[in-house]
Amino acid sequence: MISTQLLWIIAGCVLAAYLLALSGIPTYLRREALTGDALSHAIFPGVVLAVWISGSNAGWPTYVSGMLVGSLALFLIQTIHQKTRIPKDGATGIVLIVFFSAGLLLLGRLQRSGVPLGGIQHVLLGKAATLLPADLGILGILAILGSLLFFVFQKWVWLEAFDAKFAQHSGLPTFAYSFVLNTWTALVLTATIQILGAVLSAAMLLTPAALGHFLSPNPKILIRTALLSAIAAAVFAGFISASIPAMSTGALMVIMLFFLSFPFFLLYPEKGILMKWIARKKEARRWSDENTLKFLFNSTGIRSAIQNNPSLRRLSNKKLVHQNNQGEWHLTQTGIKNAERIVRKHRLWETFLHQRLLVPEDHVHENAELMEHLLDDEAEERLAQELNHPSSDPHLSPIPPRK
Amino acid sequence: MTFLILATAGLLAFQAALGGSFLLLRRSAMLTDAMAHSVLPGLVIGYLFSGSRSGPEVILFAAASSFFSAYLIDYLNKFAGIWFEASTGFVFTSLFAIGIVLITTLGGNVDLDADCVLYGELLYVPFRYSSTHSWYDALPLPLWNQIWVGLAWALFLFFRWKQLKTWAFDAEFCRHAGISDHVIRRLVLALTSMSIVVGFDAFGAILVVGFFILPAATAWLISRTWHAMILISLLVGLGSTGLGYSLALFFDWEPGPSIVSVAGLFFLAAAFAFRQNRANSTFRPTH
Repeated sequence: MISTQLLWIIAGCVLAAYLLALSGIPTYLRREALTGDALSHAIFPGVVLAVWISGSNAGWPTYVSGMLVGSLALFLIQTIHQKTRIPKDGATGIVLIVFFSAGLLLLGRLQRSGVPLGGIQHVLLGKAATLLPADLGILGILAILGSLLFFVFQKWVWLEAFDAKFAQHSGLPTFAYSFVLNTWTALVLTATIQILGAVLSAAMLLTPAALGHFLSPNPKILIRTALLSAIAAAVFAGFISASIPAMSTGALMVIMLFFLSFPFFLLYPEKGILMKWIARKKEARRWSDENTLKFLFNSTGIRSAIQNNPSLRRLSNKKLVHQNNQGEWHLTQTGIKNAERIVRKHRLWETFLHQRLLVPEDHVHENAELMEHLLDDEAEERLAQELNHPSSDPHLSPIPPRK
Repeated sequence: MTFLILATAGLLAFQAALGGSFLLLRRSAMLTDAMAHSVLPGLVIGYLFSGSRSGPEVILFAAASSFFSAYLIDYLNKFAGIWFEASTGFVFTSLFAIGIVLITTLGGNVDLDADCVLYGELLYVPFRYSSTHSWYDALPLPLWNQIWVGLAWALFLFFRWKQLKTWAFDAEFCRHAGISDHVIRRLVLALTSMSIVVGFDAFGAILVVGFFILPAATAWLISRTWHAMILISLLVGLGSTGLGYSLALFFDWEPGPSIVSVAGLFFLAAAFAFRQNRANSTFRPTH
């Protein structure tokens, strides 16, 4: 008996998460991530109204009235943004807070007049344990319908998301598209806020798509990441909330998704915050090591004033420099070779600036200080060819030959 | 009695007029909503430390967690390149979820319920005293909180008026003029998080978020100068408090949502009176 109930709950969570993640992709790509948050709060008065009229928060009146009120809210956001000077985020906030407090006023009114309110308190925090088979059926139908719509009209979704103006000019009915997308999102949120709660279903709408988009703008990867991460979080949350009845399923799902996505934000190659930081540090070290090598090359036998110079330490670990008995730092054979490359790049660039770009010779040094770190081997070779392999730079210092 | 409630609300309206205008002009209006949700984990941790629901520890922890959310939002936006609105949504919903799980894990030990978080305890404001039997008992505790935070805003305004104005209208110019825009932004956000928490403690989340967004937006529609914007948003805040509170008393409504709804009506009237057409209707934010 327990295992069937567990299955119900997990199935409900997975369906809700799948629906939200799928509907979230177009919304996210239109840069309306917070509209989902506004919408999930704005349908609240719709749900309360439906309870008032029909006496329960299950069944079609809830969906119809949630959908209508949600569409009205989105229409208002759009209108405020277009007809006044309030920016989009301001309009979103205004509609969110006004609709939500209107819903609270209505709710207070109903509570005082003694209307039975059913499970309406779950609209705020959500509860998967109260899931009825009928709700599951509706979620299932919505999931099938949503997948069909999404995969049939996928091309439109990408076209509209990346260039709305272009989509309009190439004959896409953008107004109808927006209308259908908005109504659909309102419907999905009405269906899911009773399981996940208002704030948390907004999170499930946004975070999977955000993670997918962070990993890659490639549609295939984006869709797969979003759907898989949402489903994984849902299965996890379903299991835990079935064993701890008081636990909010939506909160567990969102936390799971947070722990799934945050490591990516930190550690994903080339984009993760930590990875970018490490790459910056590495680059800074390379520059300072190259500067040290060049310095030692130009002056022989330096007694370092700083005992623990990190750059010297790194270079001596690589056996590019060594310290003799008098405590003086010298370049090793490999060290000289490496230093010559840097000096060569520096002086080649100075020659190029002076000969070809006619920069006065007392102005070429600063720029060469930067370019010596940036030129790669091929650019260096081409530069030498272009200048007919010069033997000295504008200051008449010799250019070391390439070995 | 009513005077004490209105005085407390008036001080909050003053802070919200300032903070709300700055954030609205900097296209960060939804940050207030995010920061109000992110109060939750700090609230629970503060409650664990102090055992009371509105001690100074609770206020400090809650403000810290609210400020942390704003900081993390900016950080993810800047360093991971996640769109601002996406990073806003990601951060505050995650912190909110952590707060909820903390509450449910602690079971019945925490006396925090959705009603008091949303509606606040506006009607109890005149009855909450510090009960230390000193001069501090002269005014209710929520009013003292508002006074201190209001004072902090006033000091900030007095010493950093020019920088604030520059930052609010043109952050780019602000950088080139040698004013550190992120320091100003963080100071505004820190003060905003204090205002949110003390307002939250007195009036509940709905009223605070409403106060930060609606009066400033109404004022922006009407006014052409900075002074007028602050003044009008202060007036709208006070007016909707007075009217909404009276309506709530008369019709036996919840005061918080009633005040916000009245402010919403003010905005609607102003939007209708000052409507205009935007040339570029497919505008999407670029930051």
